[in-house]
Amino acid sequence: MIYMLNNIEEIVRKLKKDTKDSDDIIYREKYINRKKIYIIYNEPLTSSDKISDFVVRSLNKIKSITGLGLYKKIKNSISNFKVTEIEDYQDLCFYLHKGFTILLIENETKAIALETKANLNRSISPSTTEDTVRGAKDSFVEDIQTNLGLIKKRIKTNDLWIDKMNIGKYTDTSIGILYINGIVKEDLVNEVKKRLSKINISGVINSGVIKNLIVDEKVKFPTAQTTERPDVVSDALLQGKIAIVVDNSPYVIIIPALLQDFFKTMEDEYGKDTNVSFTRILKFLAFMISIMTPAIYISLVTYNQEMIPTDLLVSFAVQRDGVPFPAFVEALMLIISFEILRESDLRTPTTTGSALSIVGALILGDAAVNAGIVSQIMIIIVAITSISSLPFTELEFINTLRIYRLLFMVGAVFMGMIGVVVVFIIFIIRICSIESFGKPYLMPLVPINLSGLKNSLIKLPAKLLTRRPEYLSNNTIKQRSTDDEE
Amino acid sequence: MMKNKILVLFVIFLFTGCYNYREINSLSITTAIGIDKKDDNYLLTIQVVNTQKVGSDTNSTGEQSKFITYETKGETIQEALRKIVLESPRRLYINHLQLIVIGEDLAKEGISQIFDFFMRNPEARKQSQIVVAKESKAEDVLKILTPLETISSKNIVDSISSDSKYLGVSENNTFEYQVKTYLNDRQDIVMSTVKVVGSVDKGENTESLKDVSSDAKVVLQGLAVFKKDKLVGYLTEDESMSANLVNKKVKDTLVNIECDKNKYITIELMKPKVDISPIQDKLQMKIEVNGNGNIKEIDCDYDLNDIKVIQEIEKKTEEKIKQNINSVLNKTINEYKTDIFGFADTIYKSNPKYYKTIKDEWYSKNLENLQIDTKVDFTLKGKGNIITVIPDEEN
Repeated sequence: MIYMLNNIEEIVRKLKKDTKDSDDIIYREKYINRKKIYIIYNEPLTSSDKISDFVVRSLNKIKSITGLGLYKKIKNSISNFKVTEIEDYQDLCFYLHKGFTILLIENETKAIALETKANLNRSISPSTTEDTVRGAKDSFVEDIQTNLGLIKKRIKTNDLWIDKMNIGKYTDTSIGILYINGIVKEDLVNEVKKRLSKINISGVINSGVIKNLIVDEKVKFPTAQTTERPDVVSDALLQGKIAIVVDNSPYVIIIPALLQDFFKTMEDEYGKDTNVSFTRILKFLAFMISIMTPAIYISLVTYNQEMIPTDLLVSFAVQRDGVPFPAFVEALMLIISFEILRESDLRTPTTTGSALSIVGALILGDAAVNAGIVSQIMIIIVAITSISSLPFTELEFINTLRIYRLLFMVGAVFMGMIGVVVVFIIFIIRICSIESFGKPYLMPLVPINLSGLKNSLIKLPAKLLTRRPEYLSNNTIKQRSTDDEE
Repeated sequence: MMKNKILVLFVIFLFTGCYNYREINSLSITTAIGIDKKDDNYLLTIQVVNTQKVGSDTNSTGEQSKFITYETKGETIQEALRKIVLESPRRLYINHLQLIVIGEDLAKEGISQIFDFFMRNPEARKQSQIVVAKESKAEDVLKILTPLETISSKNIVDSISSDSKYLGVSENNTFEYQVKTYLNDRQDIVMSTVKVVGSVDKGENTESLKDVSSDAKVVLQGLAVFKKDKLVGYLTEDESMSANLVNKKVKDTLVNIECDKNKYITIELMKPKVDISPIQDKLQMKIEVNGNGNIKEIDCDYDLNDIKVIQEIEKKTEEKIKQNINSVLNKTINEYKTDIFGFADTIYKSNPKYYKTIKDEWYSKNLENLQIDTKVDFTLKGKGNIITVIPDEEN
């Protein structure tokens, strides 16, 4: 049944019925020249100041209708910039739930929607999960318009294209797909749009929901990056990547994400090349330590004792003496305890967090060793392993390392060093077979890509980084030195 | 497909059945094995790290020894080694074997069986040192406690390695090298020797470590000389140094020359170059030693600015080195009748055809008839931090 907007009493009745007489929706009647006008708004979403200032005051000024009809008169005299015409009931509901104020006018086929949104956003604050020493301090907030503004502030060009779409049956969340026309590869944009259009979901609460629905589910390593820093997003866009901004989520998705992206931070762009290279090699070491140390230790003390110097072996043997569990069980116990500790630390408020870490450190560390349940060396191994997984900002990445760490340990406990090597081969095959939106995950190393390698594990001086990697963009010239005749 | 993958993983990991799984605390880390022979039986002394003590600082009182020694007997080495289970609760782990000590009596009887056992055993580390217990039993050597290094076998091994860097008395070569040399047939082997000085009974007690100077000590001595697999005699420390010099094993050593009556100059000989070359088709050998060094200590009142004095010191050093070399050559060739310098090997390498003709009578006749011409060239490079000599009070 189609509801004609001129029958305003019926519209109001239907709205009341559909919202089950919600107290939040306010209906105010007003007469201008004996014509009835309904002012309808959703109270929690609207600002009463704006309604009184821009809507009611403007309406009060209208004394008489001369010539034009009341509808046009109202539309012209309202001192509000964002005025929308509404032609049917669906539109009316949509705008009502977006925080607009609806003016229903008797005997008119169109209604008017006026923007009177309340400010429900927090202000822009420094990033909490991706801190930098010398980078920009702002970070995304929940409002999509603010977030887009933070990016547009940095990239001032017509070529920054935004494709908008709404996803979610009930949440109707706006999503913006950002890319720079002329840098990005068309097929990547199409692929992302294709995957997004396939999503049919009741609600999108956070960008993580979108991310999980568009990446390949089989792989353990994250193939999309999330960040709350506008400068990271802007940099990614300039490289030829795509950003997906989701309303109500301070985390923006960057696509595609390769393994090397998790080793890089925005600060790398500001640092000197040698220092950056050093940090990246350090991170790579941490990556290897994080997945392999417990496994190597287990294979050394249970299978391959001949591989280490005698003094070290004696030291291991002395510390292991009297520990009632096999090395694998000991390692598993400590790693699980650490993970529980980390998880509880993440969830507890900061006030109890410090108490928790003291208890965790004391009980797990000192007391367990004194009680002879675990050896000191195992505490050291688990500590170095856990610390090594923390230089990475992406939480998904850290959690993936955890899974591979356990796999390596299983390999070690069954076959010692050979088992570690077997799992390593499986690991390498696995990681080589991953693709992020059609891009090989180990790019630029496998397959080899020279312009990409210049800024991967080792960063060359900035003057030499004149080209974008071909796998991200067709427009590869990034920077031109003045004496370059190209 | 997924099922197959899981199946493959199961086969890889589970069908191996944890082969060779051994927790570190179920092993006895063996650092040294001493081998003696007693009434046709091998008597093995096995030194095992006491893991309940070493290195851990908590409630360490120093009452307990850092290592444990086990003794077993058997007709063969392997039998004796297996019988250790009767005494030790843990499996013997000889991958980290550092030292093999051979008792003097057994060394005189022949050590080829020891070579065979340790080379055959896949677990035994071929990089361990092998030494002879001079005038004592291997058992006694391994029982003595040592103050500096916590495990006495490590004390001996480290001593040998630092000696080879700074003095050159002992033979710093792996077990594998010794076996190779032995099998080579054109060179006889030498081994480092250790000797127990003092009372063995007291040295076994931890109380002895508390004294300023231990009651019993294990010290390195000159080389033991073998003919084939049998011990034939020992060299003194000076002779050992010269033997090592000719064998190109000396990196840094000292030479004392007498400058006056009972007054000496000590010269440090650094990185000497030695060249041994046979004369074509003749039983003649030329040994050339080229070296330079510094004055380390001087007792005579010499004017070291005078070039003549320097030349005289150089000349005396050359003579001294030459004399030492000749004496050790004389002792090994004429007295022990062994070829520890591998002259046969040198001839073989430069002239295999000629070697064939002299091979059969090498030990009986040719070795003794070998004419060895020694030439030493020494250059004094430095005189130390002071140029003049600090004089005696009488002057």
